[in-house]
Amino acid sequence: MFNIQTLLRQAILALVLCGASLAAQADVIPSSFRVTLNSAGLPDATFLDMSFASFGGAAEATANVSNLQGAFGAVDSSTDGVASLPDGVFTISNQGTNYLTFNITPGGSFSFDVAFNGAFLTEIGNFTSFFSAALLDSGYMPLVGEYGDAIFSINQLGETGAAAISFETSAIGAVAPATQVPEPSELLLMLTGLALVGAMARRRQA
Amino acid sequence: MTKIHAPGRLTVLAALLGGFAAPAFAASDIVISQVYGGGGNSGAVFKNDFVELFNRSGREISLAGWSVQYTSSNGPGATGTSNWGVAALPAKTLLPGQYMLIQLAAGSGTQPALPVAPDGTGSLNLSGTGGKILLSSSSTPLTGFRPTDTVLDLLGWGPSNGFEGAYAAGTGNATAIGRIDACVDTDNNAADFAVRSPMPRNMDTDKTPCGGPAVFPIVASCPASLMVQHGVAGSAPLSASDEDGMVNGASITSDPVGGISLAGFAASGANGQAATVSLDVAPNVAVGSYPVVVNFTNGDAQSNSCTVHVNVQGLASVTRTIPQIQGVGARSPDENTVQTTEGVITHKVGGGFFMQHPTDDGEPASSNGIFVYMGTTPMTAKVGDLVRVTGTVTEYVPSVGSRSYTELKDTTSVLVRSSGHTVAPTNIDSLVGLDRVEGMLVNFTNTLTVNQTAYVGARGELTLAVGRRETPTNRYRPGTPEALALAAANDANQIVLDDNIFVTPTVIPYIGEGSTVRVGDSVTGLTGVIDFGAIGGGGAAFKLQPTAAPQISRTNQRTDAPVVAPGNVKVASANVLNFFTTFTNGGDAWNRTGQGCTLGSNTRASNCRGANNMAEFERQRDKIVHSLKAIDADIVGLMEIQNNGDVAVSYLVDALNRAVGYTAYAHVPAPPQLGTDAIRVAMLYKPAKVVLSGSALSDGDSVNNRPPMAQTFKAANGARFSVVVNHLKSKSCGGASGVNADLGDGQACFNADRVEQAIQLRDMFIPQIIASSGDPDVLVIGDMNAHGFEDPIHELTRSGFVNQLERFVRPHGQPYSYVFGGQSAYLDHALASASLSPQVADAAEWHNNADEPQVIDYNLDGKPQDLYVSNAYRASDHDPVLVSLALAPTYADMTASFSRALSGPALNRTTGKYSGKATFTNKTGATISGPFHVTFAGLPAGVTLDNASGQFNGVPYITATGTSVAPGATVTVSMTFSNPAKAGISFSNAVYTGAF
Repeated sequence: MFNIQTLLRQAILALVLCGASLAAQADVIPSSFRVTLNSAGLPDATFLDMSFASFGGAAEATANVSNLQGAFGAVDSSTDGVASLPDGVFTISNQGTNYLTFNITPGGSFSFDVAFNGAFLTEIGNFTSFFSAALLDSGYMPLVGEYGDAIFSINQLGETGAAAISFETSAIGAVAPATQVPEPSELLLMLTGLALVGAMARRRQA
Repeated sequence: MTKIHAPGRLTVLAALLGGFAAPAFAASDIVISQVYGGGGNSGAVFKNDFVELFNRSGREISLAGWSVQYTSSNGPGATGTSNWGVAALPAKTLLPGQYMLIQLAAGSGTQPALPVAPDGTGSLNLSGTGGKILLSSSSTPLTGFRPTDTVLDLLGWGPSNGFEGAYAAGTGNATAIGRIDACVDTDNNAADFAVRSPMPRNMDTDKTPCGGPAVFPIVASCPASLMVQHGVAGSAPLSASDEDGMVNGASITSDPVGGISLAGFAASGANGQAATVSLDVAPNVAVGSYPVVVNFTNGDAQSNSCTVHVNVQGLASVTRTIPQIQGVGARSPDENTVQTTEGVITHKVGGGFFMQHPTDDGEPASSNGIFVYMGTTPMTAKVGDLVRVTGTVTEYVPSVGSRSYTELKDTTSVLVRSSGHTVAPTNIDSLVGLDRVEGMLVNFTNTLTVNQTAYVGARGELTLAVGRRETPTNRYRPGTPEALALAAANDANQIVLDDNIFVTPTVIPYIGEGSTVRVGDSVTGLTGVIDFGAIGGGGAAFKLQPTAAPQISRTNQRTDAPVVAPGNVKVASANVLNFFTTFTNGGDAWNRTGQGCTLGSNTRASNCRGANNMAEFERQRDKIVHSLKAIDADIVGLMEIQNNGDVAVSYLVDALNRAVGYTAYAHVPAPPQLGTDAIRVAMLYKPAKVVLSGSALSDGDSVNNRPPMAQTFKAANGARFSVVVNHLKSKSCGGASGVNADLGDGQACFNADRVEQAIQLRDMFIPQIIASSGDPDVLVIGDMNAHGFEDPIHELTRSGFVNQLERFVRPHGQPYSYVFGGQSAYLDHALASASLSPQVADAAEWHNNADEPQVIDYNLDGKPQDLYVSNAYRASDHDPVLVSLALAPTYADMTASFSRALSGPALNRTTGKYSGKATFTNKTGATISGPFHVTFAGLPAGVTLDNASGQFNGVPYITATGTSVAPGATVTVSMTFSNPAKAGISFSNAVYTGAF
């Protein structure tokens, strides 16, 4: 069922998201990264764990995890700073110590998109928080990287430096910047939103 | 026979010492026969105190309007101006031999009531051990320590300052003090009374008459001789009295001599009053000796006579003037010859008079005055009389004197030529060469300074000098030309102001504001005659017998508290003059009896050195507490506290805390060795200001008489330092010989021992202290029994210790903490190690003790007057020393100089540990020197910093690598946390440089 008001709200949201994305681009922060962990040759891999933490005082950063691909099973465990959104999207906050642990079936590659946003982009503070993903055995022990197989350092906006995100990986991890232009569907949605906003404005004038 | 300066006058002193405290009451008809003060106390026999009276006369006596009055051993009050307590007697009449029982206050005990009914009651609450009680013919409350007005009988029992003859023995709660024979009253409490079981007797008790009234003889008072010049009329006053009668007649009963007669007889006005009469010798009585017997009679058919040897002499020719007798040399050219000379009497003292040539002879080297020794020979001549004197010229040398004093003795003739002369005082302004004015009336035109007050109570003496004399070795190394010169100058700069009497004064002279006279006070307009003789403390000296009251000004004011420049820790050194919680009477501060003090392996009450009893102890304690409270130091080193573990020092801490109003102080727990002396050194400190670092150390090496004690402290800013309290061997010469004898270099006895002790301290104990504390900051305090520049101190200063009194006090005036021999010096030191000295902000002495007379101290015995006031002055014989330390903090909070960046945490999935990094960037323009310590405060519960280097004020910290950071450079520490609850990790950081 089509609901014009819902469509309008989604259009405005899309516009805002695009704006944020554009702003992030301006700071040369990729809006999204594709993380791949390869479990080939790791038959004991039982969990794929993502964690995000900061020391007290750091501005909030949220990791948006989506587009999970591979033999992911159900969520094993998570903390209060983790939210599960529709369509296989999750958010993980850096406030405190948070983790999201999935059951997996080992053998192949596991990949997901992660994007970071939040106040760390706009609030000044000398904090670096870490987001990491790792393959764990059944005892939650890491199989390869002690601190994770893909580790992102999220630098808060500083007095002398911009907010920045960097990463490192273990032998089984890989990170690639996701595409920096909006997906065609997103662009269409944004254009539609603009058109609709314009239409609404004209109608009120009439 | 010589003038009774040294031995003679002292003999008189001894003979009269007892007398001054014993007012000559008429032996009373009604006497105090028994006193019991323990009533109702622990161990008492009866519930009530009582006093029992007895009629020892042969007649009925009404007690209406009379009273018994009581005060404590040294009451009433500190100043003697308060009242005695009164119990009025019932209006009853006692028959001869009859007792009267007055029941007094009840105690809290459950003992039985008095076994016989009291005849009267009162509320007086008597001491169970001693006090003073008197019988008065009035019920008006009396004042003063030894009132005499209306007093019929007085009993002082237990050590007290009012009694007849001597005080009677002290009692306990189960004993009374009773008259041995109720009929006998010799006016000596010690002889008349004994301690016994209480046995009250009342008016119903069988009477024990004493066999009639006491009979007193007539006592005549006549001069033994009267010298009269032929051709000049002379006279002598005679008197006689009778305790129980009135003298109503006098007559010459020897063979009559024409021209010798009695005149102007005045009979007694009442029992005990003197009758007076003048023995007159007419001018025409021929030269010769006439023993004249004068007989006095009364209405009771009694009589008594005395003999006056009237000696009528022709006027001898003057053989020498006074200046001729004195001569220009040290000794008289006429020594040991009989001479007749003439002079005007300028001053009379006990045992003789001073006279002076009427005019100046123009020769300053020869004195114009001379002392004429009369012994007990009466002399009717008076000040202003021109007298011709015949006697033997002698050079009087006191037994301890190093010089002689020319005087006349064996005087055979003192004839008054004329009266009404005046001799102008000779103005002088120097104390050098007083032999040139010996015996003369002088006036000091300059201001003199009180140099010693130690003997003002016992002898009525103040030592004066031009300025305040400093002990030579307090200023110069012993034996140096400077020290010798100062010693010579000091010797020539002294006069002792006496009080014209040669016994202990009954009223202490020269006492001013605050019941004291202080060394440093000024004396102006001093006029009197130059005497010479024994002085307090030994030796002989020129003395001034004043002819007018000296004007003494309080130019050395007391201060309420010592003043030192502020620092962060204040250290004091205080000699507390034998603070013992065990008394010489075997009592102690907790009212126990049969206690003792340990000296070596013996424990006896006679080893105790402080208070004699509880009353003295409380007075001593209060003064010391007042003093320590005013000093308000953060650390106090004590000397001369009882060596009974921490008992005495704990008691003192408790008393001090009560006075301060909160638990400000604690004592440093005793070190391993306290030595075998009866006294030890100890330390107090304020736990809120400093904390103990480790345990106290001591040096029990046999060279030390009293092991020094050391304690390392940590100040609030982390600074660590050690204080060593010392009490070196005394300068007193008892047992000194060989290298320890007085070598005459000003360092007195046992200097060799003290040097050994100082070297032991320097070479053994202090290195041990530093090794223990790990910090070279050491403060040496205490009673070193060595003056500023003496050898023991030299041993320390020459190895780097810095004398803080020379550094801070000397520039503003003479440093001193003790007065001895009329000279001032400091025995109490503050010596800082080379590393500590730059951190000393100030040092000071508080002159609350050394300048004050000994007679105002806590002691109750041996004093003519009790001038005690409960305050901080004369709390000891030594002045306390204060050191203000401005200790450099060992670390500095440099947080503000850095910006911080935190990275992490990252969870190590192998170990479960969280790691991170903290990076601190020097945001100043200057290089900052390390080492650097980063503290992590406010970690949540359950989060632990695993790699902490240590704890600082309860907060974990990590010591960073690196010794300095340039501007813009960073200090980085890596943290590992345990966080089993997986909580958010938060904290705040501070960056310190230095050492915790």
